[in-house]
Amino acid sequence: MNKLKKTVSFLLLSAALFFHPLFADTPLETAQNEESADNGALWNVLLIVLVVWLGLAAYLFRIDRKISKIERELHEE
Amino acid sequence: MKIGRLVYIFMPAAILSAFLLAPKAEILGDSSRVIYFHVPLAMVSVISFVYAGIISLVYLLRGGALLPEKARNSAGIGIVCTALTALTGSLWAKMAWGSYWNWDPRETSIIILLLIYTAYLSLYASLENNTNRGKICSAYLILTMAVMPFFVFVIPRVYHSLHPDTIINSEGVIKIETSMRAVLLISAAAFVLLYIYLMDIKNRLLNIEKVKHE
Repeated sequence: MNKLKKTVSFLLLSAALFFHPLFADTPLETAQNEESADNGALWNVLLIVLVVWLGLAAYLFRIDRKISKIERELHEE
Repeated sequence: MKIGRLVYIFMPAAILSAFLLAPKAEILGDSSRVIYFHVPLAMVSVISFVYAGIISLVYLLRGGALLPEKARNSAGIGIVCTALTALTGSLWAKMAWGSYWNWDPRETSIIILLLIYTAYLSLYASLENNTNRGKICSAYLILTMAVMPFFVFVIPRVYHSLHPDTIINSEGVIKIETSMRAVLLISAAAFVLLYIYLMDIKNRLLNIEKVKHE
């Protein structure tokens, strides 16, 4: 459980750092114009969607593992 | 290796390509990226309703353990996908047409479709102790499978609609840029894999319940 939490936290943090506009190659000065602002919003939406997916994926993965465990136990019985 | 587990690769690829690879549409701009989630969800809802209808037909013709339950699982996923299609469509309508809901023929038909399948869930739940539950619910799902194409494909084409021409249009020509089409394909594959994965999980749970009852 703790291992899973650590893995999910690591993934979320990595995604947040990797996709944050501050870590993008675009110079900060260009963020003044409208197009860059649009791009910033786009990056933020992308980040949100990815975080939502990562959360759902971790949840699905846990359910899948639990079912596999029960199936193994039933098979052994 | 279960094929549905490929969703862990395909879904992030679909999300990233929808935002980074696909160009924005000329008039709609960045809001056009909703298409990579809205259309695949609609596709999956049709697939799940058709699959539920087909296995119901198999059950009525040949019988088979757990088939009505599997049909119910598929219809359940279909209802969730239809509701999400309506939700994403509504958000997109606000960006493109200026309001969340316009009672457009496509919006109206999707609500009727949702009501029809929600009624199925009620029917299924109410017949819990009925020995003919499988047969009655299967017959209902076959009828709805026959009606569903009219709501999804026919009615929005008969009446004037604000909704743009769909990918599967009357001319048989896919009016979409090549790069956008590629991203749409990746996204469609990701959502179909998600459907397969969810069905696999639900059906495995069903088998466990069956073993426990025995």
